[in-house]
Amino acid sequence: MIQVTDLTKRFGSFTALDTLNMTVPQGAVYGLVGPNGAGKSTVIRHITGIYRPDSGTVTVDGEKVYENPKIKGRIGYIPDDIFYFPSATLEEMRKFYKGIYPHFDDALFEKLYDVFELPKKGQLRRFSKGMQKQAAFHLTLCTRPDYLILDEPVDGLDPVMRRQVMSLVMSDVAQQGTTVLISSHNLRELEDVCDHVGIMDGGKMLLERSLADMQGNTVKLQLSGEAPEGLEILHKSVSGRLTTLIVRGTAEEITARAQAANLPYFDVLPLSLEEIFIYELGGINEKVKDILL
Amino acid sequence: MRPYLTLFWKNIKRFWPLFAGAVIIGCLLKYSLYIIRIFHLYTPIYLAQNLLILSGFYGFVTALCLWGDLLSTKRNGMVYSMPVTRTGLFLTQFLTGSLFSLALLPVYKFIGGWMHPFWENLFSVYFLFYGLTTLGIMLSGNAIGAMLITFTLASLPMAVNWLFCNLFRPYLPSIAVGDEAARTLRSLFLNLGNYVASYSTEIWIAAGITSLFAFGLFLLRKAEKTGEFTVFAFLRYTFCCAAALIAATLVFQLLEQNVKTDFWFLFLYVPIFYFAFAMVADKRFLVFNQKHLLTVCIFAALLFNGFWVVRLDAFGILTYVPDPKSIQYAELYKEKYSSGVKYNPDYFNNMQVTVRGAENLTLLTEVHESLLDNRSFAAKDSDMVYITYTMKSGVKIRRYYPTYDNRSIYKKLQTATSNNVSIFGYDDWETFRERVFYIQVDRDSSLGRSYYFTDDETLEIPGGDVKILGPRLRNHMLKMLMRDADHGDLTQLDYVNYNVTIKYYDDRGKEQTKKLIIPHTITGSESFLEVCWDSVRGQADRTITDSTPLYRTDISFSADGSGTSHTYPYYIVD
Repeated sequence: MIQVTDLTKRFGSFTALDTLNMTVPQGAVYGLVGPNGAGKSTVIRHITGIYRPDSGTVTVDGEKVYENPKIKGRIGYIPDDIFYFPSATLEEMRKFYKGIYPHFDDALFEKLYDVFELPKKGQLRRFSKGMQKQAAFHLTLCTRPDYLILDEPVDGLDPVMRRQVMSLVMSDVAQQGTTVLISSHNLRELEDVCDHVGIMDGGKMLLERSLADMQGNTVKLQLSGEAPEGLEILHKSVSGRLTTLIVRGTAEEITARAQAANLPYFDVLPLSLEEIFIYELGGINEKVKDILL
Repeated sequence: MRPYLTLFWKNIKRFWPLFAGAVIIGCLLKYSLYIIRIFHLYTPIYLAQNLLILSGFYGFVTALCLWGDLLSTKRNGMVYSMPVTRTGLFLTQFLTGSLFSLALLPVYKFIGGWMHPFWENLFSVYFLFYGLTTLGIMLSGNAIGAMLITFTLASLPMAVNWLFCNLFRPYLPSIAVGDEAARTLRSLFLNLGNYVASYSTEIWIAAGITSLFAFGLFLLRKAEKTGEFTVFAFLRYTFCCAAALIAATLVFQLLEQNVKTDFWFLFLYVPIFYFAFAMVADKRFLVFNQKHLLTVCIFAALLFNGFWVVRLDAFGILTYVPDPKSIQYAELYKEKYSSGVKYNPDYFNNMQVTVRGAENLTLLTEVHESLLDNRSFAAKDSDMVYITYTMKSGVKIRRYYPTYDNRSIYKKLQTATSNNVSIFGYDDWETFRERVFYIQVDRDSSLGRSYYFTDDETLEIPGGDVKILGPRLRNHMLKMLMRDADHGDLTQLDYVNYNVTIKYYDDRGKEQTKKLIIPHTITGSESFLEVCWDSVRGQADRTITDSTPLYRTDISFSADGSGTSHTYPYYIVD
């Protein structure tokens, strides 16, 4: 489990993180969402041991990450801007990673050549951005990390490769129990893979929830007629005779209430992740627009 | 351990061209010597200095390359996310840098010969600049900043020298303490050959301190905001102040301004250079914000106050003359302007006169006061008198003064230093003569013999080279023993030094040894080098007269079977 508690980080007079709290459960696929400049990369650099907190703690399985080689050896990190040694080939980086990370898997490395189909020779810095990202996945997955930290992971990848990469990641999660933290500024990208989501902005965590909890507890009720009493309505919109309500409660509960109210017409629909967050955050405001739209 | 070894080998694989380049360029220097010598441009001593400069530059470049991975956010992300500690990372990089220093060894071996006094300093200078550059990188986080900080720190000793010895010299004519530090520190740049060889230990210590400081900063540094000129915000202002002071002092010197009349210009140059360096530090032109304005005002105020404290001698440092009763002994040295030798520690040591005894010390303090009354500012064409008091507490007080042709002062100096047998710990010659039992004269250890005479002993020295105390050498030795104030023209270059060892009993009856160096110019008629004698016979004569206070002995010898006999009178003390 990754635990961030009251994390604060300042760069000069600018406060990048302000008493941030975040929990990534063991085995979860956690989506960290926020607009540009929210502090996502900063918190990730704390989790990967690059930055030292000004205050607060960042722990993995109860141990502090900073200056902890044992913990850092279990974390695989793919930044948004990848560095390779000048003139290094994939094979050379493999040797380097093998020397650095204790659990590097050579067999998996050979196997992944069939997946990514990257040239073995040829300087990595001459690859396209997408190919460099593929190479990063190729190398990082082979370190067999217990924790995989991905900063804007699919940026630059074509749709097919995006699916392939995320499929690999999910496979790792399923087989190895890897805990994954993915940062993105696009909620839609994360909808299919994440089971936990956190939204941050201005160095603070605005909302952090399990998707199952959120989707199970909030539904869209479309109806004609008067709304049943006792519903916790988060949002209401009327279009002609059709009223759309966003209400808190399980689908079964709301269905039962609607039936009991003898409504001429009603339909209980699941919400998209985007819709859940819009209404959880109290409507579409500027912050949420930046994140979601 | 394995990650560090991997990093280490990666460094070697990435940067081996640096190592090879250093070897090739260093070795090519040897061939440049042939070209240079053809045109008689340099002597080897200058090339040794150049090699040391190259060594320092190599250290600078090596540090930049090895620590370059930390200079960008992209790179340091990979480095710090690896399962390594900062201590391990620093030591790995440092070890790589140390290994790269070995490139200097084949260079030294290949060039060899002329560079032999300096080979050790190749490494000390390399590590000094390696440490300074590493420190610069830790402070600034970028290559330009590292370069500026390295240059500033390396120039700091010279800047201190300029400040105390040149800028404030007319107001501090007597503070010689700055010279001691300046002599040690500026040797790195002004006279690398001789002085660096002498101060190798100090350079190693400086290299160690800067590296340790860099290590400490590396651990403290939060690895954020690389690219900022100074990672530690307060150091930005400190750097701008220090750099401005150095640059302003340099301009002041280059324009040869007179500190008496033009010192106001210093307070004009400092703000100009401060804002110039602030533009470099902040990477923008508009730096006239509140913080910078406040900093430059405070700095200028401190400088102004400091200047006037020195100018007015607010603490009475300049005019202080110690009480003779609290002085253990004093050392006096007079340097003639006409010598052309401004400062040579060998001459300093050779020509130093030790003044002891209450009467002599009182006289010396009177001389000191006279010098104070007559001191002149900005005296360029004058002799210098150096006085070092060793107090009974062990503290040393050093002063030096320019003196014009002031005959009364010279007279007093001569009186204070003549008949000064205090070098041997005695106040009078009579007592001293009775205690001397051995005199040995050597030209150097690799040639010739030493000899001495005891009572009634006739010593035969078979063959070999023998130094004979001819008239001139005898006179030199006598002069040294009698401590005549006028030592003669000792400032000419002497190619041969005669080492005189005198053994005597001190006032507690303990055996003491004093070594003196008598510089002697070999002339055609006294070319002892070509002398080779069959044998030497001599007999001590115990006659002592008033006019010949020392024993006189005649030595007869013949050379190479020629039958020629020569008699040379010389004086020894038995």
